Amino acid sequence: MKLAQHPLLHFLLLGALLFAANRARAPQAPDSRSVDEVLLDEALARGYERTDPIARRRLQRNARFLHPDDLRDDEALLGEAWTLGLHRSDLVVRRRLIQKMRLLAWSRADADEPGEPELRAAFALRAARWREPARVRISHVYLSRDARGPDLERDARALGPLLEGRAPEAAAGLGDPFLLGTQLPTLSEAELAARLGGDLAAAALAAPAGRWSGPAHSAYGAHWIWVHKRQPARDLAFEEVRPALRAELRRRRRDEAVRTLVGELRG
Amino acid sequence: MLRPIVLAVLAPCLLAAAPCPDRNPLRRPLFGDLHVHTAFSHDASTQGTRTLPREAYRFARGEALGLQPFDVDGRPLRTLQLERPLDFAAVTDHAELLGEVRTCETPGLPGYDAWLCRLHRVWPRASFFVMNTHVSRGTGSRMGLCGPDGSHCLEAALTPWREIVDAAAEADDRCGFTSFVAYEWTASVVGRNLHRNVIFANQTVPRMPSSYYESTTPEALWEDLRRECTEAGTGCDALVIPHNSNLSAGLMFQLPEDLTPEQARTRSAFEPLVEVMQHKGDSECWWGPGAEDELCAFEQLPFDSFRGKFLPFLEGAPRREDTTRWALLQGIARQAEIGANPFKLGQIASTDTHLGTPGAVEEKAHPGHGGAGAPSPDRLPEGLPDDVFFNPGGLAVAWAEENTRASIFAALRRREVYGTSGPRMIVRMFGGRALPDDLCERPDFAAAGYAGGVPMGGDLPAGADGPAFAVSALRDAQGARLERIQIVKGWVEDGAPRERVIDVTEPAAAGADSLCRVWRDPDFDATQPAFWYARVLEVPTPRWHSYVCRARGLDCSRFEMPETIRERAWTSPVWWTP
Repeated sequence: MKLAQHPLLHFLLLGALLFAANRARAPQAPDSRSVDEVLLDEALARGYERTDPIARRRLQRNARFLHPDDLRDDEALLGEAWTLGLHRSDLVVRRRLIQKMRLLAWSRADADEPGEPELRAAFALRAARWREPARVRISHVYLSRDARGPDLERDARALGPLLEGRAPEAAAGLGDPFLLGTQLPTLSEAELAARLGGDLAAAALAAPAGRWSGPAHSAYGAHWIWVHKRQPARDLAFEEVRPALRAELRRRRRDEAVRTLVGELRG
Repeated sequence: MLRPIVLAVLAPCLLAAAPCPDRNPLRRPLFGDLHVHTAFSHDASTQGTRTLPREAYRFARGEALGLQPFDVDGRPLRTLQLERPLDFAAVTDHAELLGEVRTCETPGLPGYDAWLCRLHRVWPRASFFVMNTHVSRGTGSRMGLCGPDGSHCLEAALTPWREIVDAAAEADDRCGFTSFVAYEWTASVVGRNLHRNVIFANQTVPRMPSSYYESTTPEALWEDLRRECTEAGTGCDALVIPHNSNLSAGLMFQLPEDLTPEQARTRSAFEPLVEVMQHKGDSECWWGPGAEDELCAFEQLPFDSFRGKFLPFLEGAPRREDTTRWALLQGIARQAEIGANPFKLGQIASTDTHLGTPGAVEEKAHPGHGGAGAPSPDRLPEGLPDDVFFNPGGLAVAWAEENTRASIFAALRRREVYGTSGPRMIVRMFGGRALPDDLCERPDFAAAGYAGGVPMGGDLPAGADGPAFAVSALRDAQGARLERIQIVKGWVEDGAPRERVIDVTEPAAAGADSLCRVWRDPDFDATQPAFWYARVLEVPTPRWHSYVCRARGLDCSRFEMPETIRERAWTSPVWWTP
């Protein structure tokens, strides 16, 4: 039998053909490395484990730990650490090198500041988000739950008529002492609630300005409230939120820059 | 050329001239956290923390934050949000991990031989000038040392330190929220902790922080700060806050026998404050055989250094000489000997979070601050989220006129600050001879306090009469009630330091919303140096691990830590120097 007619040869040829065809048709295997692995490989390709001071110090320390009696200098031990591949196994060095790649991507993003149209478009898209809550500045007369016990409500009601016609400055002595004082800074409902608790915050926001309202209750007792000034809730103007918008856009650009870099590196 | 310089000089004056609308000359309490780690700290990043300084500041202001562990798509398995935002915060990452290649100072790096680098090596100030004018001209081109396309510099342009400094600048919101540029100097001598946080007053900071690699002793750190900051003539100012003396195995407050007055003054000039409590335990006072102050049995770690945690055969019991009270006593003892007090320390607390979560102090929701707890790379840890003897940490409170860097930094400097173990109780203290006895009944506690005395952190003025101390406390509106106020007195008698704890209000088992007392020291002796600070206690409430044990059905009876915690506040002392 001639060799050319041998079935084994046909089998092998056909097999080789199929294999080649399959290889040509199949897409390239996707890069299955995680984002961190891609960044680490690139950092190592750039030799950052050799130039980065933190990586160097750490590797020298590790090599010293492995060879406590070695009299060679740090440089020689560093060489030993690289030979042993300690830069791949040490978690701190790995994190550091990955972080370096991220910062590099970020600095690319930062090199190009978001322009005016981009800022305005971002603002217009979610203008409702930039809203300042209503704030109120109050004086108050406080009656202590501790000091008055079961008489608190009676005393609080009795205080109302005594406050009639009195300015806040003239009313301070009518209540019990309060460590935060009788005049509070300008605060939102949430800020007031965080400081004083109870329903006082909601009452203060609802109270009319320039006269006494009450009694409202905090975590500490009862209060009569005098609203000095009310600052209604308002939508912030573009100029007021420009710095925050710029920061937010830069954050997004940085994320995008890392994605782009990783995409490039994955090919 | 002249205009920017004139503006730079004038700007602080212009800003200082514009007070916040709610500025209060009698000052108000602002709550903050001056000890925060993010992913720029290796012990945070190796256990999976991804939070960076900008996100940490946003968390402090009330935004929700995703926490580790993260799933494969990078989604966090936990989130955390402060119910009450903070007034101020400082990100304090470990400087030892912030080091950068200095192109001009590292032979062999591209750019080392550029003309500007040569200039920098022989005449640094001149090159600084050239580099800065070059950058401020904004031509967009990069100097020779950056290579033809600028790539050498671009690679070093965005460093962790730069990112920390910029994040603080971005987060600072005058009158609304204050941030500080800061870092941690992480020195330890064979596992014995000498750690300190460096807090800068403004954006003028050294080009690189001085880390343990550059300065291996506290004295060397102060010298670096003096040279590169406080005496650099640039407007830079900084203070240094030691922490975790409880983990120093006797080292933190060790002084040389021949300490000079000059050395004592340098120490207290740079270190006006100490962190009395945080995630890794309480450092106020010592509890052990023979100790009398039972309330010192509080968040005490079972060992005296980290070598004890990891190598049990090196474990030592907590030491009295590692407490802030001991340091305060040594301070006045040295004052009596050499005429200067090396430990004139005001007291604050903070978290030392390693999750980038400033102010996360709720016992009910302790996520485990992680740095020294069990790492949890990809799934929620089983059991407790932290070592049982750790805790959520505390807060720093500053009595400041307004919420600005200048105002808060001045409060830190003059020690008008206190620490809490987490709750937002308000505590005010004055000491003086002219304080009225009826101060607690008067509506003008603060005004009369300043008029007749000095606030916490201050010095009693000269005079022979016995001083009075007025302490007023208001409970956290969302916390537990107050149980009592104590005054801790330290003094030097016949050359020996002495201490006494006095209940100045009767212990109230049911607790009170507010407590106040004017107390006159009956044993005052004008010839003895002394200090007094207040300790305010809440009634007992469940400790963080009790909440976890209940929620997850764990048997926590094996833990030696008590199920309840006596939350508290510690003020800075008032001092008397004969």
